Amino acid sequence: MATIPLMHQVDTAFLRRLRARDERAWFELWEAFGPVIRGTLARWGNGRLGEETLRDLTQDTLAALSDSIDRFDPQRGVRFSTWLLAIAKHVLGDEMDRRFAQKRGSGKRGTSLDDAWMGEARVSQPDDEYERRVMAAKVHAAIRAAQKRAEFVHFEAYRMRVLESKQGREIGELLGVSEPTVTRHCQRVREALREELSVAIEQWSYTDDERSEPSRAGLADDDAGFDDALGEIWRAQEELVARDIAERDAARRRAGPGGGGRAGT
Amino acid sequence: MQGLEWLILIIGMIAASVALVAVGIIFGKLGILTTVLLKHVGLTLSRLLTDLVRFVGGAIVALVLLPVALGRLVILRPGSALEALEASGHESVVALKSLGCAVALRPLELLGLSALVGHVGTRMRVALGDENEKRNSPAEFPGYTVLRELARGGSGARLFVAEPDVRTRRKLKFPSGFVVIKSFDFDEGTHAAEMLREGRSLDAARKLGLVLDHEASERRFHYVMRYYEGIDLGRFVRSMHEAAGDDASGHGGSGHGGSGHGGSGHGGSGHEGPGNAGLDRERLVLIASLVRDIVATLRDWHDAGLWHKDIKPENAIVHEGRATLVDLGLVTPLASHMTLTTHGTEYFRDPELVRQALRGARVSEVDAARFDLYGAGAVLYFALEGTFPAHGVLSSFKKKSPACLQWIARRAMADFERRYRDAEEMLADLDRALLGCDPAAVRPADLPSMGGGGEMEKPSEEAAFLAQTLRKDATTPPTAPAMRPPDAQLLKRPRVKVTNWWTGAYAVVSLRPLPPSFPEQGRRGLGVAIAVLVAALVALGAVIWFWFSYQGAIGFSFDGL
Repeated sequence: MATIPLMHQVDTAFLRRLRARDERAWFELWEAFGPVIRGTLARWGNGRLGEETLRDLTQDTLAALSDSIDRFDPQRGVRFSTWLLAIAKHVLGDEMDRRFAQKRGSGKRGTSLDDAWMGEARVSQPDDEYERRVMAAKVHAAIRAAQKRAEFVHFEAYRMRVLESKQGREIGELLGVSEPTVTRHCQRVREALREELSVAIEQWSYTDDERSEPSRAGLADDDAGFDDALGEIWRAQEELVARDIAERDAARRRAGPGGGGRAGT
Repeated sequence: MQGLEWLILIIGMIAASVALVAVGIIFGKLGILTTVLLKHVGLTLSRLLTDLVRFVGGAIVALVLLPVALGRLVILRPGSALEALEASGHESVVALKSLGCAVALRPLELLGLSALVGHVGTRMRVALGDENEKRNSPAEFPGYTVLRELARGGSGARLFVAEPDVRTRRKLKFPSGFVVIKSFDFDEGTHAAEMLREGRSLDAARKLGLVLDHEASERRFHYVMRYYEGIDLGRFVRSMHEAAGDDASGHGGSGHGGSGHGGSGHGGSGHEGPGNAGLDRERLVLIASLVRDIVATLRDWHDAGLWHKDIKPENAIVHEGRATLVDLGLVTPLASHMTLTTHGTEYFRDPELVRQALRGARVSEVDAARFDLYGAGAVLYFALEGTFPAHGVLSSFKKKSPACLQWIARRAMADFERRYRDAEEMLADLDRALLGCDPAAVRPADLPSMGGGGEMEKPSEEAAFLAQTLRKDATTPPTAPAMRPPDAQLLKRPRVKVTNWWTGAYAVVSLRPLPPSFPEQGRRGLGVAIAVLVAALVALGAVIWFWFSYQGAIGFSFDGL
């Protein structure tokens, strides 16, 4: 049975890239967790945040993360997901304060970003859905990386097998290859996926608990178990994002025309 | 009675009849004009009333705020007092403006001088430095008559639908139709970077016939393109999916796909369910043909050394059954030495473009044409699903659609090195999928990019018929007897032409609203009617005069008849 190698030391290579302002590392972070942050902010906003605001806040979250990255110490035992959530919450809090011009005070000290993510107790703990989203985002990042490595035809064969539950014979007929060839294609992709998954988990996990999540989700099982677990997470992630998009579309329709636009720098 | 008398009598009767008909037409049209006049009077009076109410309200508030300011001053709160005083001043200005409008402008409007009033008012406000007015003032372009303004795009430029005059048409070799003028003006907030970006591809765009004309001055730059009247592919696709959903719910939700056509089809993924039925065969073929048009256009652009950079459904207009790519806002020469930027539209922009831009790559260092192919794949996904690919190439297909079309969409969105080499390769796959007008019967293995292009069978008779008829008028989606029109919004204000003023019969000329300054056909008809009436009356008068003169000369009387 193939297993995902569990990391016992915090790998800081990715953090080093972030600290070195490696734009591609930041884009990787954005690509993987941008939708999670946006979805979470949208839930907190409870329909009051427009699409543009959500996009800005998500970018602000990563900008705040960029400002604080030099002071982050992964050895303090804060989960990656908690860290991300704390920063998003801090950014949203600032936005709300600005928007409603609420005065901090009344004997309560304003929260600094350091307080928010360095001290675990100060941050309200993330809920299950948020944790699921973060975990799914990591798996999705691994799938993306594996897709880049794999031949297009191989990956499509694996996708048909896992996501569309097609039989090897049917896939072979569609692709014009034999059933054993389909099995070989799938095996290659599966191996790439296992490797990329271990890299993604290593990159975006700071506690032992986070590192053991893939095993708990069945991603350390044999091939059939791995495929089932991966397919389930893949589908769940798609549904979550689709739900976010549907909510945003509904919010945009409520807000009237002019909600869309061109994104760019 | 002699023959000449009968002749005069007949001519007189014809002239009287013609006069009667002309009077009828004129009165019919006068009725409409009267309605318009009454509406105009009513509107002006209501505006006058609004001005008076605003004047009274402003004056009251201004007066009430004065003692408030005084009171605040007494309790030693000068800041608040100043605020109240400012508010009072503002209200006074509003009241005075309203009074000015009521006394001076509205009577002029009532006399039909609203254009003069509007022009003077706008120019005055522009002269006084009102930035909003500067932005919204009507633009003028020599050789063109501006008909209406379109919504602004992302670049901040203004877009106008215009009609070239005869001389300009001759110069542009553009005999009929309207044009779109995209105008950049420093005085209206355009930045030099936007102007430069749009300007750098003009030469190539002119060679391709995309740009008809352009002109630059010190403060302004504009270029002219052909105007395509139609709806954008985004709306078109959404309306098709809505209609397909209605059909599916009305017909038990039978979906298209795997075994939908004689059991020989190759359906892709897609969950069964009332909302996931997907499009039927005719609609699928139609929208895939529209995407094919986009890819064919991309091939031409890429061959000409241009890269569109913003492929999305909203940038393709469905016009006369074909999709035309518009918006040159981000068009870039493929050989440009400029650094890549991340412009584009989310979900239709290639993530690899962003990565390369962050790396600081130059356009000429990458095969930028492939970024357009990603957009084309995303558009095909959108066409099949009715929603955008939120996960790029990893996006699943929820609705039933042919496996070969799903394959093409994914292949176009695949990793940079794995996707189609060029638009030609993608086009060949699309052509193969559409060849028999039954994409469900085509396997991914049959596509030329998979080495399956060798056995291109001739399209069946049915397929050939379908291919001919489908594209006759794609603005109205084919099939489905009770199908909705493409876009209910656009039907709210159709452009109509009255065909019979007596019965009120009319014909819909266009789904688009009539541009406000379009020449009105009705007035021309009224002029003709008046001319006919005058001619008929003159003829009648001549007949009567001749009759009586003739009677006087020969001593004829009516008593003798």
